[in-house]
Amino acid sequence: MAEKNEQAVAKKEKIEEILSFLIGKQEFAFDVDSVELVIERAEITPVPKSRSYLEGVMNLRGRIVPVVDLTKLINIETELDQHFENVLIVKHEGSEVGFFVNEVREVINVKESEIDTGARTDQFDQKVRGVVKRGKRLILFMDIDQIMKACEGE
Amino acid sequence: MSSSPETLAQSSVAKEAPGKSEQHSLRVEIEKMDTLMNLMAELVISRSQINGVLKKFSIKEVDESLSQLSRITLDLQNIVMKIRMVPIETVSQKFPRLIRDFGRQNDKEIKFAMKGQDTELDRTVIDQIGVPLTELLKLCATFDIESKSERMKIGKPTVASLFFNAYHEGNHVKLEIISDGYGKPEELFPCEETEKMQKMIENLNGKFILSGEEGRMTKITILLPLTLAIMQSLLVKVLNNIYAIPIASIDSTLSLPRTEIQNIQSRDVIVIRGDIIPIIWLSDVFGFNSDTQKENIQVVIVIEGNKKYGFVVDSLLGQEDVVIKSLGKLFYDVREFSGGAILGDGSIAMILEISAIVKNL
Repeated sequence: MAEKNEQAVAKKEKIEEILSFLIGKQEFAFDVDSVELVIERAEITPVPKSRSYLEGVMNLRGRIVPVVDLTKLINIETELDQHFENVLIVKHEGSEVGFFVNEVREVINVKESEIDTGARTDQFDQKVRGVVKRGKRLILFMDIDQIMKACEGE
Repeated sequence: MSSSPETLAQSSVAKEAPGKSEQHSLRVEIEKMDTLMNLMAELVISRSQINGVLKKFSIKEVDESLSQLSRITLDLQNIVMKIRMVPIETVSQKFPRLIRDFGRQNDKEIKFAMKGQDTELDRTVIDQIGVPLTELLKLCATFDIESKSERMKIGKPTVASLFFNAYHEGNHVKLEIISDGYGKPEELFPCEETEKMQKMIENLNGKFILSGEEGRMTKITILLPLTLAIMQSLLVKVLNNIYAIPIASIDSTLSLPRTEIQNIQSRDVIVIRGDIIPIIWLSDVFGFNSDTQKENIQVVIVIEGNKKYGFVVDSLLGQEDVVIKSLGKLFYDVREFSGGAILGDGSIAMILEISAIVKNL
């Protein structure tokens, strides 16, 4: 019954493609269109006197790209000696920003009705568009516009 | 003497040449110029890379070719820069009319004058400086210059004066807007407006200074870098990171025993040829915990606003042409660096903004 309903709705509703990734044990996702590429963590040059979630800058094919530690930006709890191996490069309104991630998992097609917007928590405020359930996995689908605003210190 | 077709052709060329030579110009799309500039920048990086690798072997023939290559790149760099330069006139020519119209609509009589309008700036700067300049002129005309009746009341000439000046100063171009009004821009100009202007200027790696003399004049100074892309710098090391100091700001470098540092009014200073020079520990400025107790310290003496300061670094790595890149808007609140430079080995050096660093003193 529930399945039938879902199928009926699916014909009209938009399907979002999201890219999921792990930070610590938590699975997050960005809109796949905003992700430019995923690279192995390269040398990151610290920028003294910058805000704490800005890890520094890296050289991406001759371009200087800032690298953000999301765990510091939105207070994600992680183990103390958290080490990130990958950087997810997001392109937003013409500028590129790198985000530390542990592991990039997969691209998932999500129907709009599958994004549970009721489950937003205070902690992440407006930065989460909703929670996507896939079996036992709970994926936090982040609002990239809001994340970028937060990065800019707004 | 009968003239052959050949000499005729020659003489006609000769006749045309003087008139035409002034107009021998070529229209080029700005995108192509940008590509040329980027390629130029990559060439500079590439050259440093090769230089870095081959320097270790010191092969005479290679060294000669390398220095030849360096000269050529430098010349090429200069010419590319020059091609991109456009006089400030291209944006300022509309100012007189703008001010005249503004005065008419607002019951103000403003005598507007300009100087140094043939001063050249990089095309990308020119493209982005028009809006803030227009806004700043309007701010002066609106908030600094009094109305005719007000001026009469306080005994000032009813015709107000507004002046826009441009000139070279060292490695910078200085733009000044001066108006003879209230002279209290901090109080009278809307805060959000000036902040917006400041941000726009800083996006161009420029500086923005607002000053005033009460009852006499308001002065806006904009300092813009002459070249956007390539800069001669001294690379230094502080802890594990490399920083670039603009050669244009450097007076000298020296190594001296730690014991030469004196303490005056809880400030570290050194005395060189009678000059008292304040010492700035870059590791402190950057918030590093450094407890080096080396006997000798490396000092880079920089000049900022006619004053000398000594920057203490861990080591000097040498001079290099670096390509300046913006750090992007996420770092807008970091004043200590004017940008980043990509070095020959692909690593990034932060470029010091001397004026911001000495301000902390």
